[in-house]
Amino acid sequence: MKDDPVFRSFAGFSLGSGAKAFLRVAGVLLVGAQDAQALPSFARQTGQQCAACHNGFPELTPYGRQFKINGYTFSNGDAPTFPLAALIISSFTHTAEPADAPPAPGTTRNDNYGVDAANFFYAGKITSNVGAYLQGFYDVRAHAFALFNSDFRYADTAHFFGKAATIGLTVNNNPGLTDPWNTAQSFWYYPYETSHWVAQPAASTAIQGRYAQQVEGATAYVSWDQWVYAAAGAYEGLDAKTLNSLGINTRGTSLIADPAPYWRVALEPAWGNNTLEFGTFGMDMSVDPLRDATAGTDRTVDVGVDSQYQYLADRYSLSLIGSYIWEDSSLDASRALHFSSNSRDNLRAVNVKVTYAYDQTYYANLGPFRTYGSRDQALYGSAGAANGSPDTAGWVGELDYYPFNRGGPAFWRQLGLKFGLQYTYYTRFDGATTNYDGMGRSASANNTLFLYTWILF
Amino acid sequence: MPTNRTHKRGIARVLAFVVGISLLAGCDTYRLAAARPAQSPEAAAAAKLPQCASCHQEDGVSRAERFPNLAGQQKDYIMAQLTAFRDHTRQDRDAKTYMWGMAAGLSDATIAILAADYSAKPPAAAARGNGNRVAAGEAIYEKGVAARGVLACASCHGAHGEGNAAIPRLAGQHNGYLVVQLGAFASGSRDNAVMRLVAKSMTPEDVRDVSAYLSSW
Repeated sequence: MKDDPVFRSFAGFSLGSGAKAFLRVAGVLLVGAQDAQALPSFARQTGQQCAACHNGFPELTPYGRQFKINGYTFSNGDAPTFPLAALIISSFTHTAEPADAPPAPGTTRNDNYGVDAANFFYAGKITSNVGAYLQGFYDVRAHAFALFNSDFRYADTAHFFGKAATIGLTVNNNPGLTDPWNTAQSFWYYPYETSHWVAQPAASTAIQGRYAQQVEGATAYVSWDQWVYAAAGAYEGLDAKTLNSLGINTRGTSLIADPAPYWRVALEPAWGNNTLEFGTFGMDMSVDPLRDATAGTDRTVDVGVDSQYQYLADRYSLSLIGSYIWEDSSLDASRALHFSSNSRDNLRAVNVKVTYAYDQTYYANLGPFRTYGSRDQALYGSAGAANGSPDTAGWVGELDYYPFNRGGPAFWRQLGLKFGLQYTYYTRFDGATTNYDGMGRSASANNTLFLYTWILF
Repeated sequence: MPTNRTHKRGIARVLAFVVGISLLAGCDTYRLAAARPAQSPEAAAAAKLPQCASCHQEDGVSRAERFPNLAGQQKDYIMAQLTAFRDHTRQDRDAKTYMWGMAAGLSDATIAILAADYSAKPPAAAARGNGNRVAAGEAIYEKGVAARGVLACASCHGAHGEGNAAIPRLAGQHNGYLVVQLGAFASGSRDNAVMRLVAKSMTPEDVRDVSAYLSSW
């Protein structure tokens, strides 16, 4: 559950096993679905097919990036003014070996299936310069509703050095969500959907979604001549009471105590039908661990580099994405509170994927991933890694079929559908290949077959 | 604690949301399409141009070769194509994916303003082409291929590839775009009797040669 703040926060390690199980369950249920991009409300607004903006959703085409940069405001004469959409997610999950306990109430130790979540969107143009992407999330099993991603934007056109530039401002609750490339930040990186019902690694970096929905922030950005992009802003943590009133779970999460600077710079030259993006991004965070300010603050600095190559031709497309994230943390407050063993930790994350698509309907994806860093018994030990190591590595392969990427059936043109068949293969999990949890479980026991559908309308 | 029964109740709620959202979205779309307030053609064109520029760039020289250069294109040709996108009479793949939506709801007057804007821009500089292909393409462009009944392109598109009224400028157009369009004419997804005849009589080599020549012009 790479999007699950419980697994990536300082949670759990000082709590009893029952409380830990509760935290995991609550985290899984509340923040389960990170998906939902090829939005029918956008299609209704532009009159265009999903394939105009998406090279298989949620990956964006160059035109899709312009749509996002321009604040979701592109529209035609038939555009509705009330841009609503919905996404229903259903899945089946099989792990190589059953979990020690059911992952959530109402589930079993293996082979869970059913309707997982419904997402509701208000997403599209508000005025000619203002647009919004608002996502509500309803957990079918837990009966819980929560505000999910939200992104309000203002965008306008200017001219610098004789070339057109789009300048914009976004107010949002998820650092990196607003990025035009969806390569590495927030939780919009491959694989874009993961099972809610399997154990996920104990460690991931902060910029990969640890503070998703837990913060509010603003970034200003400029896209010059469509190949130079720069964004800068800051995010601050929201208090638990506010978040809880929005349905957002805060148990086990930490608080960004001071405005945390965020930046993003990318260049994207284009030639023929190719684009090549390379860039950097990062965030510098002062953190109250587990929202406890009594021992001062920790500091976590994330710096990432990413690259995306796309070849989008008439019949087929090829896409390559790679990212590397450095995270260095000073954990004096956590150490004083016995949340961590060390006063300094580092964590590294590598994610790569390659996608081949035919007719923008059939997609094959494959990519290795690896997270590694310093051992910290208190931080990772009770989150599942018996030896305190955050090392996890493996491969994810996925076959996708989008029957309606070029328009839905005649009676329902904006119906979107995605079928995914995903296999995750772990060579290492929470610090070891065998017996990673001290109870004899191997990394390969978590190998997962995951079938899912997205229904969008 | 959720059970199967609460799960089913959850699904029932989702279904209720499905129906509700579909109805709201559907009603909104049709109500507004029927009662759209009038916007002046100038204002409509000004609002549309940044969207055009997303793929064709502000100066009409596009970054990606799947999207045609529009700078210096014949005004009548742009008008005819935008009208064909709006009316769904041009049916090649990218027309459906991108341009049907882009041109939906444009009035004839707005189309004329957009066409005038792009046709007035200076054409793209020539790309560098493969020498052998360019030479072979030049021969096809100027003389056709008599043996296969390929007409000389120059007879309609002009001695300098500049086009004429509804016949498009080809000089300086993207190589990849021309290859795809000749395929669309041959398959009939772009419906044009003369171009269908020409494109069907060309070999894949002819198509690549003449496209390389035109893009390097």
